[in-house]
Amino acid sequence: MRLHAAFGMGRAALALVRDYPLAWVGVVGWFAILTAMALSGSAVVLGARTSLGNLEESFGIHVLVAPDAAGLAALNHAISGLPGVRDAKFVVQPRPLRQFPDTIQARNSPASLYVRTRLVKPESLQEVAAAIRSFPKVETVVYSPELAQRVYDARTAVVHLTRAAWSAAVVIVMIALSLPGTGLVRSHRRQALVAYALGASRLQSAAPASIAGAVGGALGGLLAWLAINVAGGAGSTAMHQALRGVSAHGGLALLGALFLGTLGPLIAIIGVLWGRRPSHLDPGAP
Amino acid sequence: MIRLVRVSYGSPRRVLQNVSLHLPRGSAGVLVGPMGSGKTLILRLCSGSLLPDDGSVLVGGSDTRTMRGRAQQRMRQATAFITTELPLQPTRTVLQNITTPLELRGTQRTRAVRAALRALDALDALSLAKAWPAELSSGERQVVVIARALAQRPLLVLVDEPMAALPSCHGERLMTLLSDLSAQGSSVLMASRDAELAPRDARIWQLRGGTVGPCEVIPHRVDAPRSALVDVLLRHVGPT
Repeated sequence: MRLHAAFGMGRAALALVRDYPLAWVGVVGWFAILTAMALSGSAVVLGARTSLGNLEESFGIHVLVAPDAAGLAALNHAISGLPGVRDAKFVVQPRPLRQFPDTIQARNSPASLYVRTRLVKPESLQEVAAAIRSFPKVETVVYSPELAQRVYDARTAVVHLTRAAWSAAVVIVMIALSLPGTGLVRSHRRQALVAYALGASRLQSAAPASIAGAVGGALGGLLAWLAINVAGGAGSTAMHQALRGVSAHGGLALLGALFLGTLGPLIAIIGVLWGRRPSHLDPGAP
Repeated sequence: MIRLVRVSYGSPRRVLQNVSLHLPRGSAGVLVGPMGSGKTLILRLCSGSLLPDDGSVLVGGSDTRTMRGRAQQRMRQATAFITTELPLQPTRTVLQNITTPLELRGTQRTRAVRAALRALDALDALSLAKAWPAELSSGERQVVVIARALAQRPLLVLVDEPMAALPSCHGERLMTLLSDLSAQGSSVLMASRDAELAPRDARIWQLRGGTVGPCEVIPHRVDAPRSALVDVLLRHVGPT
């Protein structure tokens, strides 16, 4: 059904565009809406991942340093610089280690570091732990691979669920818009062709579809701009930064959308005057 | 008025093959043939909406292939096409549908409305004037399509299977109107599966296998008396 709707819309849109080039603006607007939905979908997924950050923060690596260790600050700095490490904090009162029953219990130590990693993926955690172990004066490295795996699995599941829900929403919106959209485009083309056959000039017969195309294009651009703006308000990742970059130039985007809308009539006049001869009895006409 | 010179159309299947016919101004003609014989195709070629692959179609002395811009628009305005394939505009009332072609050519609104009402009256369909196309039956829609064509003061009337959706009681009335239009100087070309109903003194062409047989004239197929109402209509609707 989704394919049928998409093909129906595409075929009708192409037929309209073939005769009335301004309709490109409407079609561009349509794709702008879909692109905006896809972008905002990515932002939602990224937002979900970010909101899971709290869960990740409860997990980390405890590093117990020998009591006679000197240069704790230097060690802290060196560990912080490791790839995959988000930060390392000096902990006066180390967290109780009973939450890791399967790990080695360390002796009580006055010097401890709590290291948070960028990724909670068990393999990368293992790599970071190995790198920390290689530092001199590091006595014990404590973390729970099982807990890391559980957190990683939970986060992956939530991300997949969010992505699936968003995809479903996009499909539903596509179908909901495609079905009446197909009828609308066909109706526009039919009415334009009937008017042409009854003696209207190319310009007169193209006017309703042209205006609809221009308004549709401008509206599509405006919606796309709004969607990007809304999407830019969520999340805090690189994608979010990119979205924020786009929305920071919202005025420019809006101007672009309006420009497309106003450019349309010019394209229409050129296309209508030199376009293909419309046939109101074209057997292939939808 | 209409001259087809060795017209061929269709690829790879030749629907029309070397078709030639001539319909002078002020005369009526009927293309008779089975389904798929190319009757409607000839009407489309005459309307200029299709161009022949070979040969030429001359309407009023001008080749449809070389017509451009304003000349093409004038030809469309002088042609009335009565067909179910040219539907009514759903967002306009019956009256507005009939006045549309008149307004497109710049006729004053009040004159266009008067012409539309006269055309509806001639078809006993005055009560439909304010109705919307969606409220009409298929027969009533066909009546409105005919009224729209008549109100245009056409020089050329192309009629495609008029009885396909028309109530039988309107058949003879339509033939009388078409006969009178041709008597007033319009050329009428009709496509039909049989020649049972035809305008007066119509030339009949049989189509078979993509070719046209010799022309024969069947006089006075319709003997319905011309009504006073039709006279009024023709005085205003006839070609100028």
